[in-house]
Formats: sequence, structure tokens, C-alpha cells
Amino acid sequence: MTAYLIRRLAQLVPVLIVVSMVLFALLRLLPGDPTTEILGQEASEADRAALRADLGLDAPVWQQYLNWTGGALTGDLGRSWLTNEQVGTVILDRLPATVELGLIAIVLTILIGLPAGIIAAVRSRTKTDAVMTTASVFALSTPHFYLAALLILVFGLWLRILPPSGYVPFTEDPVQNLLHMVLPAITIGSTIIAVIMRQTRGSLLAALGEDYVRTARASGLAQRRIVTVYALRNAVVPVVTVAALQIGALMSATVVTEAVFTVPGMGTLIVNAIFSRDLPIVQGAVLVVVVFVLLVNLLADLLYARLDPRITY
Amino acid sequence: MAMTTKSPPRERPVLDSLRRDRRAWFALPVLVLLVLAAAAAPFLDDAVADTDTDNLLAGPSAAHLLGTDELGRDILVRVVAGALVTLEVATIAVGLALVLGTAIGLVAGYRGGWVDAVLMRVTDGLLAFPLLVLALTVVAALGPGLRNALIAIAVVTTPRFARLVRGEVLSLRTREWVSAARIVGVGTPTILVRHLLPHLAGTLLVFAALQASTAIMAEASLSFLGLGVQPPQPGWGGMVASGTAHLDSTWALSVFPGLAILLTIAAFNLLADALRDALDAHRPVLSPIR
Amino acid sequence: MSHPRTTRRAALFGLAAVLIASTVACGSPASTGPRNAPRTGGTVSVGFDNEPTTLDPAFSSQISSDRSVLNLFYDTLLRQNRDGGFVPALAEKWDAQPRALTFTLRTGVKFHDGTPFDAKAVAANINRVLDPATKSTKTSALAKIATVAVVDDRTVRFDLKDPDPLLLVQLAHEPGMMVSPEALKTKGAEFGRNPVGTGPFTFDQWRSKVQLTVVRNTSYWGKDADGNQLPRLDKVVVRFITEPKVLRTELATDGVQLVRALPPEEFAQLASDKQVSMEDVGVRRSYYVALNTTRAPFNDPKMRAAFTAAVDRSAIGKVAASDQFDLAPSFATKKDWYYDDSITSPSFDQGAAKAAVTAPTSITVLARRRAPDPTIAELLQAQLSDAGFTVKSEVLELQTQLDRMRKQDFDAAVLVVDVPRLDPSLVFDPYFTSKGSNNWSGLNDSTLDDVLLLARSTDDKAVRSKAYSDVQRRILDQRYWTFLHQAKSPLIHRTALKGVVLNVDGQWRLDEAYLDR
Repeated sequence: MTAYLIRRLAQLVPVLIVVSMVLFALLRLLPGDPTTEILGQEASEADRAALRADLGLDAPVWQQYLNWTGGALTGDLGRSWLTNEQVGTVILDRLPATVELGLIAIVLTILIGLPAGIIAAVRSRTKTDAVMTTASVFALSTPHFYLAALLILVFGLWLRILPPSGYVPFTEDPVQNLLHMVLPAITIGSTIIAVIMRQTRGSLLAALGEDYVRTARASGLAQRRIVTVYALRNAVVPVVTVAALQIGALMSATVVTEAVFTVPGMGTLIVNAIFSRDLPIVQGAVLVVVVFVLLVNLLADLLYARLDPRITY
Repeated sequence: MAMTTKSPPRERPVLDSLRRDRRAWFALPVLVLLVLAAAAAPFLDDAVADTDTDNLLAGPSAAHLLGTDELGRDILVRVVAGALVTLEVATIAVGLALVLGTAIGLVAGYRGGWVDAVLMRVTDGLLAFPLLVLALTVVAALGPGLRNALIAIAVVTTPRFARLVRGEVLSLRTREWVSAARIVGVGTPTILVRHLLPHLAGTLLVFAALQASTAIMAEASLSFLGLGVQPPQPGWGGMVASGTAHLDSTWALSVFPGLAILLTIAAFNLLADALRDALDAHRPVLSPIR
Repeated sequence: MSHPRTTRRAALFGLAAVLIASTVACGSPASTGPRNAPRTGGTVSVGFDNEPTTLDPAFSSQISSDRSVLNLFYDTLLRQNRDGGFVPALAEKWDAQPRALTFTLRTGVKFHDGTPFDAKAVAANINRVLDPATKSTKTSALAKIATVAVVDDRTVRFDLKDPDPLLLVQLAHEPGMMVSPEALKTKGAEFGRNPVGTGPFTFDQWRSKVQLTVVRNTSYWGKDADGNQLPRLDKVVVRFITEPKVLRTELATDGVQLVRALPPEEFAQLASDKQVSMEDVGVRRSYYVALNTTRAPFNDPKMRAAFTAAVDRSAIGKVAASDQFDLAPSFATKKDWYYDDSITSPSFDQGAAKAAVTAPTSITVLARRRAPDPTIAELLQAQLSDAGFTVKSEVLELQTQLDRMRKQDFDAAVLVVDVPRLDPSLVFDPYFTSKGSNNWSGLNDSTLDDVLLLARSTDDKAVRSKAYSDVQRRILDQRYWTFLHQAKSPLIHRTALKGVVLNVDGQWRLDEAYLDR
């Protein structure tokens, strides 16, 4: 197991090198001049040149790359061009909202997606199954910004029972915090709930068709017990894998959803930084997101090994 | 991989199976409508741009069945014309990714060795990015606009095809008939294109339909954020965005283009599901959105 | 920014007169309604669309928006009221001679970090702004100050190179905001994110693109008219929200109690909301299209005329500002002292435009990515296409757009400025002098340069007034720019928020603000 872990971690190295190179190459091509944002529209060309030198923008590109990756390895992601804040500090400031949003979405998934999948599988080929399967297709097909707009319209503007946007830190006011999280979490969760429902249904159906389940059924075990004890245990393995793969999707959903609800998380951080040409922030934040996604996938692999005794390393 | 051991031509049963599939019957009309609307778009150029500042954000009427937008333009006309962009995403961006990704996957899988290692490391690196985050970064680098959005979507989709095709090729290249062809002296390009590619056609078709839905979603999101289609060209994502400012007064402005996106994506998803079942491939579940 | 270089003693009075005229329906406290006794305590959230890049007033760059935030932390020696008159602040009184300004300072005032506010602190502040090494954006505003003499602890004298009638105005705003000299030393480069002043609120936390939190300065020197301790609020949270729709819904749902600015299509939707107060305080957002005269097609006056003739300004106003707008010939608002209603704008004449566009003409229109600018660009595009132009519009982030305009890499560009500014020279000079910092059009028009120089070189109001009429006529005759509508920008807040005091050109102060609920 340890050897496997080390091997998997080693495999991440080339991936991360590619990721950092892609990120750096793309963002070096960005149009626009950060000195305008920093100095305002009425600054002189000499001041701009001086600032460019201060920011290290006059060094050769390869050196800028090495400076950045070298710093990143030691935890120093540089400073924001716009505000001069430590990039790491900014990211730490934004992580809680995104992590909380993700966790609530996952809780919703477990509360809704898993039972829905089980019901659809048990009631396979009935009306219930058809309705739920259809609903899942439409959930998967609804753009997050569209769902967000509809939720704001209905719950924020018409019914006025939930705040239409904004964010209150949990430490400041837990109740307000959760109220603000409801609509964005539903928006982000919509996709994952549907994916998990479909996956649970699929693998449960497959498990229900396995020999040992048939044997159990033939020996007169109750349907409920068959589903929960035998089939579900085996069905859960692929579900966990798929759930972990959804972390990337969750981050994509977060970008748009946080923008619509103005939640100060990693998504709005990245979008705003791109629009402000604040390259160190974009580079740092996207890097952290990618590393996070890779680590969650690794964790899922390890969990997979724990859950499925048939897999050995 | 049950299908790969069978002989390729099986069109009849596939079509029969599709014909019995309700999902296909939902997808087909939607996609036909999409194509018809896109075909009509070039003839709507004048109507699409026809502003009427005395008739802003008007409700439905005989002259404007869905009402007018913030410049007094007909919403229905713009929703119809917006189909063109969506079709371009599904064909050009996904087509580009299909061709490039398949080529990369074929070469990597068949050649193996360092070629495979390099190509797959790059592919893995690109796949490590959440899709929209990478697409945003690409568009931000190239600048906003439909063409750059199409490029961005092709860039994020290509590695997915590459990974899929390489996996398939790895399992196929050890087959006897591939070895046989090689021994007989058939060249590598011929083996790849003539012998391996046909076996992948079904898988690729299903995957392309799924990727089309993902790509349409991504383009709509980019346009919603203002980085995709630029005005005055009508695009559904941008129309939803401009409509959100008037959601509580002129809801039609957001709701109908949004509905159009939703139905189109659903059609591609359902088509993919139906196709997969029809091809009877017990392959790993392809998650539609990643 | 350019500044007047010569004497203009009388101008100040002229300025004051304008500002009296531009004040609508209110004295200092902007809120009306039944007067309950002001309450103490509570938190106010403010929706703010233009986040400052720094909280160091010496480096502030967004004139019309930074000030509302800086007013939380900093005081000036004297303040300029809404009516243009000067009132004491950190200075109890002052003596203005042509070549010397002497201030007698309030005693017992301390900066938030405990540093005493005295004559030495004033000298340190002024000298800091004047020092070229500081690279302050405010240096030119105080350029007429030769030396700062510390007479005693509470007396400070500015000796001037030349008389400067605008100096008091400058000192009452960002260039004269007093920061803690001690904090400047200890915080160094971090000062811009850790402001320390003498103002009503002290800094708590600033999360970029999210919010700025400030808390009550319990030892603030200010008292209200009844002698009660200010400020009244415990806490102010400035939330940075650029999306107008979000700002509007936040205001409607009490998520924020005050917003900096909302476009008319958003505030019009709040008109029937009794919980929201809207008051026209004379601020206009003056939209314009700058044409690039350094390259084809708009180096040709005929093509510029065709452009202007193709633009239906009132249609654009209707789309972008519902019916909440004025049409004016230029940046002058109808209440400005130099407003000249005999100046006529070129009229909308699509036929003339069509006739002038004889050959295929492709142009690029730039616009900022913030409502309603993209909508304006879209309608412009439609109108220009109707006149025969081939139009491409590009919607950009502000800094990218300005970058392109500075490089003269555009044909036409839509932008907006808040008017009126403190003096017409501050509005026209940056944009229309050949050396102006915002000379987007790339103008090099000696006629225009001469009139603008004349206008800022005299203190004779009649001469100035005529000069600014000539300036506007010249700009319009040459069709350098097309001035669009002037959208109303009322002061908008929840009715529960009372006691918001406005600065001379519309920025607020919150030391007397309170929640009445």
C-alpha cells in the first residue's frame, strides 16, 4: 500500500510539470497591461516602465517561469499585481467559501442522489424509474448559470425566502451563512446529484444481477436486505470513484455559480483575476485547484482499495 | 469490450434499436430543429439586428411572439438565429477535437514508447484542469470571441478523445488480425486508419455526442461570462446573461434562450445514451459532464 | 491630470456659485423625512462597484469613487460643503493670503495608531506628496506649495510659489488627506492596505474583490450639531459588487443599505419600493464616444461627421437610461455655470451619414464590460450599420480598454465620466489638450489648446465662460467626440439609513449616518 502510494505520488510529478507549464504559457500571452490597473489611467509611461521592472515583467520568460515554480514549491506564490497581497493569503481567504459550498453540495448529493439512485434501481423499468432518469438527464443538461438565475428569481425575488446573493462567513453568523449557501449549493449540486443518481442506479442494477445476489434472493432473503447489505456494498465502489471524478466538475460549476451569486470563493477569485489581468492570482489559484483535484482523485483511489477487498496492490 | 471482437458492420440492428428508443425520438426532432434554425440564421441577419427603441422589453404580441429585448429586437428571431453558434460548437469545436484527439490517441496507443509517454503526460496534464477553468484561461489568453471560444473548447476536449482512443487502441493492437496485417507488411498509417479506426467508430460516435453536450454547456458558460459570442451576434448564453438584468420584468428574455440550451444539451445526452445502448457496448459508464 | 497654472482668485467664488446651483433640494444631510433622534450603533453595508486599488490617498487613482471610501479613514484640514463653502475640520481656522496659507490645528486629535496629529504631521504629509520620489498621483495638485513651515505644534504655514485659487479645493480632498506619518514608516509598502488616519472609522479588514470592513473610531474628534460623539455607526462593510443587477437586488432585500451608483434601468425598478430612497443630487454620468483621429477613417473630418450623424443619441439614452437622462452638448451639465444653451449638438441624420459613407468602411468600437456600456455599443453598432459602416464591437475590461485607447488601437470607444467635476478645467484638459493624459482621440489642435490654456489662465469668469463655450463648439464642429446622453445618478439608499452627508461633488461621508429602524 505504501509503495503504491509513493508510486501514485510520483506519477503526479510529470502531470504537475505539464500543468504549471500550460498555465504559465497561456497566461504569459494574456493581453492587457497590469500597470494600468495598478497606476490608474492617468499615469506616465516612465512610471509604468519602473513598475514593470518592479514586478519582474522585464525578465526573460523562462526565468519568470522558474521564479514562479521555484516559489510555488516553497509555498510562495508571489504577490498580486493588483493589490500587492500575498497570493497564498488571498487563496487561503477564499478557500473556505468554496470548500463549504462543495461540502454542502456533497451532503445534498448523499441525501438526494444516493437514495434516488437506489429507488430508481429497485423500481427499475417502472414509471418512478423513468421519471427519475428523465429528471436526471434534464438536471445534467441545465447550465448552472441558468439554474442559478431561475433560483434567484423564484426564491430570492418572488418568494423572498432566501438571500439572492452574497456571503456571510460561518464564524460571523452561522445561520446567515447557511441561508446564503442554499441556492448556490443546489445549483452546483444539481449536476453531481444527477451523476451520482445515475451511477448508483447503474451499478446497483449490475450488482443485483450478480450471481451472489441471485443466490441470496433464491435463498429467500428480504429484498431490502439484499439491496442494502449485498448489492449496495458492491455498488458503492464505482460510485465513490465517479464521485471523486466529479470534483473537477464541481470546480467548473463553482466558477460560474460563484460569479452569479457573488460568493467570494476560488471561482470568483479566478474569474475576477482573469478579468483584471492579475496573473499571479490566476496562476496560483488555478494551480491550487488542480492540485486539489488531483489529490482528491488520489484519495478516491486509496478509498477504492479500502472498500473493495478484491483489489490488491 | 464485447463489440470489438465482433465483425464491424451491424448498422441494421443499431437502427432498429434506435427506432424503438424513446430517447432517440426526443433527441431527433430537437436536433433537426437545431439544424433548421441554424440554416435559417443567415436569412435572419436583418431581423436579428432590427432595433426598435420605442418598443423596449415589450411583452408577447402578434408582431413579436416572445416579446422584445433591451434593444427592442424580436426575442424569437434571436433565439432561432442563436442556434447557429450552438451548432458550430457541436460540429466545429467537437469535430476538431475528434480529429486531433483521435490522431493523438491512435499514434500514442499504437507506437507506444516515448511518443506515448510524452503525449499522455501532456494529455494527463490538460485533463487535470477542471474543464471550464482551462477554457476560461485559454479564452482569456486569446481574447474573447466566438472563434477563440471554439478553439478553447477544442483544446479542452481534444485530450479526452486522445485518452479514450489510446485506451481502445492499446487493447486492440495485440489482436491477431492486427499482428497479421503487420506481418503481411501493411504500413502503420494503413493499419491505424483502415483497421483500427473502423472498430472505434461506434465508441467515438457516442463519445462525440456526449462531448457535444459538454461543449455546448462550456460555450454557453463562456458567453454568459461575456467571453464567447460577441454582440450583436445572437448566442444563447449571452442572451441569458443580458436577460438576467430583466429577470423579474421580462423573464422571456432569459428563459427562452436558456430553455433552448437545456433542450439541445438534453438531446445530445439522450442521443448518446440511446446510441450507446443501441450499440450494446458494455463499456465503462461515460459520465456526460466532467 | 492637468492643473491650472495661473492665478484665478475669483474662480473659487464662481465655483461655489455653481455648486450651490447644482445642489438639489437638500442641504447637507441628504436624507429627508421625519427627524427622529439619531441612533447610535449598528452596521451599515454599502454596495460599491469600483473597488479602490489602494487606500493610500496619495496614490488614489479613481477620482470620483475612491473618495467615498477614503472619507471613512481620513480627514482633511478643511472640508468643502455640498454648497461649495469651506468649513473647519482638522484645522479650526485658517488664514488665506495670496502667497501663504496658515492653519491653526485642532488640538487633542490622534491618529488611529495613537500618533498625535500636529503641525509636524501636516508637514510630513504635504512633503510626502510633494516629494518626487513618492511618485504620488497628487503631486501636481499641490505643486504651488513651495515650503511647509511648522510654526508651532498647532500652527502650520504653506508658503506658495504663486497664488493658487484651487489649492483650498485640493486640500479639502485626497491631496490633503492626513495619514499617520508613524504608520507610513512602520507599514511601508503595506500602508495602502492598512490605512491609518484620523477619520471616523478605523480599518478592520480588506478582502480584495469581496469587502472592506471598518469599525467605529471610539476616540474620534468629531461631534454632531448637538455635541454628541461621532461616528454613530459601529461598523461599515463596503461590499465590492460590480454587477448592477446584484447591487439592485441586494438593495431591495436589505443586503446593503447604500450603493455608489446604479444604472437607470436598475434604479428605475426600485422606484416603487418605499424602503428605498432616491434623490437626484445633480450627479450625471456623461457617456461619450471618442473617435481616433490618428488613423483612417476618423482622421477624415467628413467621416467623423458621418459617424456623429449616424448616432441617434436619444435612442441610446432611452435604451441605456430608460427616461432618466439629459442630452447636453458636452460634459457640461445643465446646472454648470459655464453651460451654454446656445450650443447645438450635431443632429441625428441617417441620410447624411449614408451619403458620406461611400466606400466600405470598417470600424472597431470599444466598450467596457459593465452594464449598460455593452448595450450602448450594441445599439451604436446597429445604428452605424444602418448608415453603411461595417462595425465590430469589442467589450473589454476597463484596464484593457484604456490600454488600447492609450495606444490609439481603436476607431471609436464608449466611456463615461461622472460630472460635474470641481472645475471645468479638470473635465476638459485631460481629454482635449494635445498633451492631456486622456487624449484618447490623439488630438493636436492648436486652436483647442490655445482656448483651453486661456480658460485656465484667467480668473475672469466671463472670459472663462466664453472660452469653455468656444472649447465645446470647437470639439463639436470638428466632431472629435460624439457626446451621448447624461444618465442621472441619484443618491440611492434604504430609507432606514439616514444622515448621509455629501461631499461637494457627490461623494458621501458616513460619520453622521445612522440606522433608523
